[in-house]
Formats: sequence, structure tokens, C-alpha cells
Amino acid sequence: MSDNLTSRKIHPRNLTARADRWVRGNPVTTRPESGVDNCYPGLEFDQRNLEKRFLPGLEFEFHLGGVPPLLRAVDDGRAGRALPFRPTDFGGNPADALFLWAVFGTFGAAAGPVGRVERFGGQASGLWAWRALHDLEPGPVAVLLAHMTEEGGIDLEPATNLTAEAALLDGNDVAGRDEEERLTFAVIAGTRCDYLVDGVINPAIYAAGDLTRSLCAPWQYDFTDCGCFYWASNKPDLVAVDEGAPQIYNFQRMRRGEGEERPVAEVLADRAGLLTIRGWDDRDPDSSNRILNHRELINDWQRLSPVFEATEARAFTPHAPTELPPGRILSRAEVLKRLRYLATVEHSLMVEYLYAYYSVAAPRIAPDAAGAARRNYDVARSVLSVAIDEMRHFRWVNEMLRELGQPLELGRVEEFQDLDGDGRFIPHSFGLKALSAARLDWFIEVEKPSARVDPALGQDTIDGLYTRLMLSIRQSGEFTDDERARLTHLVKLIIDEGLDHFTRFSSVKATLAGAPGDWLRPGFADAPLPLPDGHPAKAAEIVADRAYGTVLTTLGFVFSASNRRTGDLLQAARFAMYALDDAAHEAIAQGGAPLFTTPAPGAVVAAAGARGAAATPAAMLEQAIVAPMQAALADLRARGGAATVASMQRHYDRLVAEMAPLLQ
Amino acid sequence: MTVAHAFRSPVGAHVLLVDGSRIFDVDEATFAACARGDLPEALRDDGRPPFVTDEPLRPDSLRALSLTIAQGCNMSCGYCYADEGRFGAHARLMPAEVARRAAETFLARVPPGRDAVLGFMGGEPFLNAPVLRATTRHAARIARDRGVRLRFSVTTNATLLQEDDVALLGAHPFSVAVSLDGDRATNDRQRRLRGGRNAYDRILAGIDRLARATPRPRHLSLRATVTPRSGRLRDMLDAMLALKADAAGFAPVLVSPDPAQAFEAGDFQRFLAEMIDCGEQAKAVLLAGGRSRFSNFETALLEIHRGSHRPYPCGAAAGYASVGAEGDLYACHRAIGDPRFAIGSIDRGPDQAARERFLAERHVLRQAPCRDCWARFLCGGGCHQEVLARGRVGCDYVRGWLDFCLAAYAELSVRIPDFFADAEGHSATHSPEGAS
Repeated sequence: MSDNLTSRKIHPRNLTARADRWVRGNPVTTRPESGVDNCYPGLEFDQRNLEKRFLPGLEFEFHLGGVPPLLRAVDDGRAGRALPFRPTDFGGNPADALFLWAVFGTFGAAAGPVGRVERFGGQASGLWAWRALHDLEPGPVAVLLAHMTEEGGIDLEPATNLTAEAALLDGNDVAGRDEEERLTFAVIAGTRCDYLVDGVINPAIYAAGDLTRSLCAPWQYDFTDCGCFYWASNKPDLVAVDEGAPQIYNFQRMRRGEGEERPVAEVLADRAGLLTIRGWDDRDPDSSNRILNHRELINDWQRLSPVFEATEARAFTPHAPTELPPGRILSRAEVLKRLRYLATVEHSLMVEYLYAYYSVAAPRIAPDAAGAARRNYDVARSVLSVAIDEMRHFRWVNEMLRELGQPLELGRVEEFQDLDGDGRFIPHSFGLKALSAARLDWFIEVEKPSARVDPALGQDTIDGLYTRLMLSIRQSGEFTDDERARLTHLVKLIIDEGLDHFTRFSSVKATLAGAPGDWLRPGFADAPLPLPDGHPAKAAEIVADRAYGTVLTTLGFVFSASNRRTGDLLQAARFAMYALDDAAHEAIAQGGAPLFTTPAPGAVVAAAGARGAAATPAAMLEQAIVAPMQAALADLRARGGAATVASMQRHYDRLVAEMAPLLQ
Repeated sequence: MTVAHAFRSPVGAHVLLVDGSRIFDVDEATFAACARGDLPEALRDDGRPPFVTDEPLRPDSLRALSLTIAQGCNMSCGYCYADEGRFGAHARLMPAEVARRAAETFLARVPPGRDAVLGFMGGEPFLNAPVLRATTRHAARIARDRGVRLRFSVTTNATLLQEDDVALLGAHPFSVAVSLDGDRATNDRQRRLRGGRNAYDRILAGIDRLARATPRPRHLSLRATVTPRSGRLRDMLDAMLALKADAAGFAPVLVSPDPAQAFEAGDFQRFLAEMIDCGEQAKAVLLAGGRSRFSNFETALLEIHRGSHRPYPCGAAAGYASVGAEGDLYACHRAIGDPRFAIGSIDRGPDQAARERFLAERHVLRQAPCRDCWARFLCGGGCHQEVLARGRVGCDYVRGWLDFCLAAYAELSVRIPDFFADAEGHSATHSPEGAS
């Protein structure tokens, strides 16, 4: 069975399969092997429910501690025959309850399956019985059911007992009755139910909700039934306590000291500092002084307030958006200045991220197997994806500048600046560094959302700068409605993506947390200097620099084009970036590194400005983009980089072909 | 009933659900069950509305129109379906007025903001170069005024290109398909200029001018026509890829005035083996991080990735039509003059009833062997013109090639997912193939 469990899968591959309205394949929760094994009674379903129908026609309850499994229901239909019970056997009187005292069948054991009778009662009750039945192998099985004595045991007359034991071993359906026709015992035989079909829990045996029935669920049991204290992974394990009583677990240690216990709700509200202490139940003025008890959680969970924007409230009241105090609103001139500054920041960050990306010892093609190479590949891709986003931010900031009638900004900044002169900025010198743990921490720091920064003490993050820009544009009277709509939209996009960058870098950090520090390319230097002439990688280094210049020149065209064409142009600009990527990898392969040397001041804008001079856009692109590369490429070709040169040449051809018609 | 096709790749076992062309990775037990036609419930579509029904398409306005501006050719390829461009009749050129009105009536019906393609076919279209140039400029003006995003395509043998033709093909968004039958030996054996002179050097010179042009055409592809007498495909492909084109691919001859040049059922086995040989080479290039530029293969990969599922092989009579020299509309450029493909004229406009009739008759679920074939929604029933002329002689080949491409897709989508991520959102540039 275990082979079956681990081999079954259906995974959607192409787009129509992925977009299928009925998602094909089974959700992981239907697969028992996906369960978290060290959790009782289970995360995906309550494991105690798994064996409750181990014999077709009978349903047991394993939830009662200290007693054998309780017979909960009988079903002739499921048994496929009339079971030897009468309606009067189940009178509803506690004394009528039938328990499972013995099972005859084949049980799994270390040395192989063994046919034997397993008996329950006394110590062998509750979960012990469930565990024993879990080992019951497929095949014939018979069970002995009988009432429980007041002492908690089974007590059959000797003759009756003999009959019952014989029936158990013979595997016959038998109902023993006394002179008053009252049921004394029942033996029911059958075939052990296989609860899986094709590796998946059999829906013919378990209806929806059967297995999760008694699972800990928020607002239902609120984890009071959680048999362990498994908070670290899936369970936000807030255990309800009775009013006035100490908490159940107290971190699993003895309490120290005396003192009155404060209600948990009050403590939480106090700590949040923002919430007024409010009762969970409007109709109960005292409810603010205590938290729900177990019974209330089950019966009255729906009386709890819903949560709007992380706050419990009876109704949703939209509140005024955050506003800047008048003294903090930036003037139009200041907004322009900051946008220009932020364009240089985005560009500098992009270069830092790209260099970090190249520093990771990752293969260019995703490796199959899990392992260090695959991990490095994933890490590099994450960093690259953020670099690509920064390119987009760089574009959006330039679009905003253009919207406001300003020239482009394609430069880089070298240091973070204290824009307000209040000392609240992150001191940082931009430069090329490999993706060390410290470097990653810096990436996380700079992308941190401003809401996580203490407004009184923390530094202005990038997010904070954009937030202030957005609010200023919104509140300032110096912008037209059109400008305001367009600019706030773009700033909002950048802010939202910044949060995503923070998350992605944080997850890179988590990925590398256990790694032995071997993810970097050996010898990949921080702050690399240009190689001396004659170095084998010199030609590749120069090509990489020129390719970076191409990217900037291309972006110059993209940013200066009309809105309608920016998207298409950016697609064309991707070919410049592919060429840069080829060049950077070639430089690395030859023992160098991409330097991202800033082209001579004005060169890029001058190239973009050369548009009018050439006869056609294509001729102009040739002149501005392709021609400056040729000598460097020829040099690289001579130095054994022919494959890279061919690939770059193709990217340049595509670049010109895609872009020329768009510039007409 | 849900129909599945189980196939294997180097990365595991897979199932193609024929309806909707959905591909799933599955385990061995599910694979075995699907292979014997016993689909597990999780893969069955019981009670769901199907992706493709037998209801014929009700066509909307045309989105692509080709003008057969020259029903004649300066070459004499024995296999040409167009009978050296004459389509069985006398050679003739489309008058400028017909081409102009065709473009006008076509573009007048394309909603503003939509994409449209105007193609030039032959024969050899550049035999009528003045009309080609004038029509292109005129159509580009109309499209700009109407806000239609118009692209152009042309299929040519590249032997007649003049300087201003090359400039035109770069200045407007043209996809240029050049017919070239691979290497020199094969090409010169199969295709000669009228009078018997070799054409290879002239074609290469034409390709070189297109590739070097600034601006150059947006897409430049090479298309080799394959006959049973062609040389080894791998050699042909390598010869084509050595040129500066964006893509190169093959088309086997099924219908030819010279039966000896058309594929018979028995020829396909070798053809399939050689196509797979080329496909394997292309796959290796992709795995190494490059672009294979083998268009049959890359197009197949992207269509499979999209889950392309169509009850027709192409856009004929639906979004596409072709205009003959006199201004009659046909469902396909390969069937100019064939009354079975007639769907109106540029003066009266597309004949809606004729288009609907054509689409009703040609629906793949109405084709006897097709409706039970697992490849029906990938293949669409085969080229209309070939099927009506020859029947379906290459089905085993089509299935064999698709099987190879499905497996290659499964493998590549695991090993180089970025290739497909990059392609999402971009549709491949297709130019209608044609004579020349």
C-alpha cells in the first residue's frame, strides 16, 4: 500500500491543463502521506476518524479515552446484508451501548503479518485500540461487541462466552440474546475495509467532512482538542482557558510567583496599543473581561466580530486615507527633485542586484535534482527577478518625469542622501558586491516596508520616500487631476512591488539560512577593478560594459517614446538585456566580472538625441547601438567567445528589427 | 467520454486529454490505466461541457487576407501546387485596382484597435512588384487612419528583389518567408529558374540582402519544400540555419502536378525519422540555452504549451481568405480557382453563407477518420486543400511528429521553463505559407 501512496500523482503541465476550471489532480489533503506525521490528532484530518469504518456496516468512535471503541452506528446497506441486530438493541440507554472487545484478523508485525485475536479493555482502550486496528491487514476479520459493566469491563456467562469466542474464530455473524431477548453480545464478520482507492481516501467510505469532523478548527474547537502543542508550523495555537483559571500550558513549565492573571484579550489589546478593549459579544457587557470558553467557542463563534483591516469591528467603517500634515507636503519642485533622485536610486539598486545575481554560483539552466546547484539556481533567479522589477521601477519613475515635462534620468547615485536634513536616512554607498549574508541583509533592509519602521526612530526606507511622494502628489494643489491620477497610480505600483521585494529577499535569506556559505562563485570579488590589458577576460569585460551601455541607450529610447509605445519598446529592449546577460556570463566564464561601468556623461542621452540625424530609425539604431559594439565583439570572437558573440549578434539583430518600426 | 493519449518523455509519464489539449504529468499506474482507456475519475470530464463541440464556427470579420498578386512564377519547381503559380490556368497578374479594392474592403471590416495581416502570395509576388509596393503603402495608410494594427507578410523566392523592395519590407512590419530547399544540391535539383539555370546563389543573395537590410524585416524565415527526392533533412536544415534568418522549417509536398514529387504513404516513415532527427538537434540547442530556430519544432512546442485545441487545421474561411487575380475570394491561397473554396468576392464582400457552409463541412468532428483520432484537435484534420485533393495520406506521420513534440515539450517545460514563460503573452509570428 505504501508504494501505491507515494507513486500516485496527477500534475497539470501546459496552460489549458493549468487553467482547467476543474483543477485536475487531487488536493494534497486527500493524500494520507501528505499528513504531518508528528502531529496528533492530525493536521489535514483527524486520524482517529480513519479507522472508524474498518469493518463494513459498523461505525466506531475512537475518541473516548479509557474505554474500548464505541459502536456508534450500524448500516445493513454498507454491510451488504442484514446484520443480526434489532432496533430495540439500540434503545438510547447508556447501558445499551456496545463496545468493541475483541478483533480476530491478521495484524501487521515486525516479523510479518500474524493472525490473532486482539483484545481491548482496561489499559488496552481508547487510542491503544485505534493503534492496534491501524495495523489490521486486509482480509477476513471478525469482531466481538458487548455491553460494558459498571466496572468498565466485559462480563459474559461462561456458556455465552464460549459461543461468542467460537463465532469470533469461525467468522460468523451471531447475536447472543438472554431469556428476555436482550442482546448479550454480537459477533460480526466481514472483510477489512480498504480506506484508500488508487492511493486516495475512498469517497465511498468517507463522506465529505467525515475525516475532518473532529479536527481542531478555528472558532470550532479553537485547538482545545489539539493533543499536542504544535504551534511552530501550521497551528496558531491559542488555547482557550476558563475564566479566572491559569492558562493550561504556561509554556509547558511550572508557574513562578503569585499574581492575578489578566484576561488574555485585555493583554493583547493593551499590547497592540491601538485597540480599545471591546467585548467579543455586544450582548454581554462582561465579555471584554474574559475570553470565550470552550463551550462558547463551539456554540457561539458566530457572535464574534469580523475582522476588517486587522481590527475586530461590528461593521466596516471606511476611514479617511492617511494624510500628511501640511508641513510635510512636498512642493511640485521638490517632488520633481525627489523623482529624479529616486530614478538614480532605482538604477543603482538594479545594478547592485544584478551584480549579486551574477555572484551566485548558479547554473544557467535549472538542474533537475534537488541540492546545492538547484538551491543556488533558485536563489539567483529570485535576485534576478527583483533586479528586473527595479528596471521597471526605473522606467516608471522616468515615465513620471516625462509626464511632468522633465528630461530623462538615466544616471546612478553613489550615496543615499539625507533629503530632509533630519538625519533619517540609511547611510549607504552603492557599489558592486557579491551576495554575502551581509549583502542580503542590506537588500532586505532597503526594501523594508515603512510600516515596519518605527516612525519616531526608524530610517526613511525607499518605501517611505515613495509613500510621502504619493501623499504629497495627492494633497498638493500644484498638480492637475490628470497628473495626479497618473502619478499616484505609478507610485502605488512601485510601493506594492517593494513589499514583494522585501518578501522575496527574506525568503532567499531563509533558503540560505542552513547553507554552509558555499553559494558564491569562488573568487568573485567585491568592488572589482578593471582587468589589466592582456588579461584573458579583458575582451569579455569590455563587451559586458558596452552591452550595459546598450541597455541604457535602449532604455533612453524607451523612456522618451510616447506612452502608447513604451510597452512594445520595452519588449524590444529585452534583447539588449539578453545580450548583456550573455556578455556578463562570458566575462564570468573567462575569469572576469561585469563592471557596469557608467558610460561617459551625456553619451546615452546624446544617443537618444541623435534620432533626428539619421535617415531612418533603423539606421539610427545601427549607428547608436550596433556600431559601437562591433570592434569589441570582434575582439571577443578572436578570444574564443565566438558562441557568445553569435548569440549577442542575434539579440542585437532582433533588437533593431523589433525597435525600428516602433520608432517611426 | 473523455479521451486521453498517454505518452512518455525523459522526465516521466504524461497524459494528453484530447479535448482542450490538456497535459498532465501522471504516475505509472495512472499512465497504464490511461493507456488502456481506463481513465481514473480525476481525469474524466463526466458531465462537463466539452471544450470543442461539433457546432461549426460562425465566422466573424476576416482578420487576415492574402492577395495572390502574381499567378505566375519565374521559377519552375516541378512540385509546385500552384503549377508554377498559374493554378492550372494562364499566368496573370493582379491588376493594381483589384489589389487596392481588396485591401480597402478588407480593412474597412476590421474593427479599430484590432490586429490584421495582409499577405502577398503568388506565384512569385515580386513579378508584380509595383502592385505589391503600392498596395502595401495604401493599406498602411488606411490602417493607420482606422487605428487597425496591420502587419504584412510575403512569401517569395527572393530572386527578384530590388533595392526598393528590400527597403519596403524593412520599413513596414513584414514577415518574410523565403522558399529555399535547404542545401545547394537539393535546391538546385528541385528548383530551377525558367530556362533551367541554377537559382541557389540568387536566392542566397536575396536572403543576404534582406538580413543585412536596415531596417530589416521584422521576421525572416526560410521554408524548404520537401519531396521524396530531397536530400537529408538535417543537412538541409543546417544549411538554412547557417544563413541569417530568424527561423527555418520544412513542408512536405502532398499535392503536386508531378505525382513523382509528392509524398506517398510509404515515404513518410523516412520523413518522420528525419524530422525527429532535426527535432532532437533543436532540443539539444534549447537545452543548452540557445534558440533552435527550427520553426516546425518551436511552433509545435509553443502551441502545445498553450494547449491549442482547434476543430480546424487553419483559419481558412474563418479569419482568413485569399484573393485571386480577378478579385474572387477563396478560403485558402492554395485553392485559388477551386469552386469548393469560393467564398465571395471583394466587390460583394465575403459570402457569409459560403463561409459557414465550408466551416460546417470541414469541421474535424465531421471527418470520418479524424473524429476518433487522439491528435484531432492538435492537427485539426489536415490541410483542407491537400485532403480534398489527396485524402489523408500522412496521418501516421502527423501523429508520430506530434508524439515526439509532446514528449519534447514535457521535457523542456521541466528543464527550461523560462523558454515558455518568455513565450507567454507573445504569439509566434506566423506567415501563411505559400507557393513561390
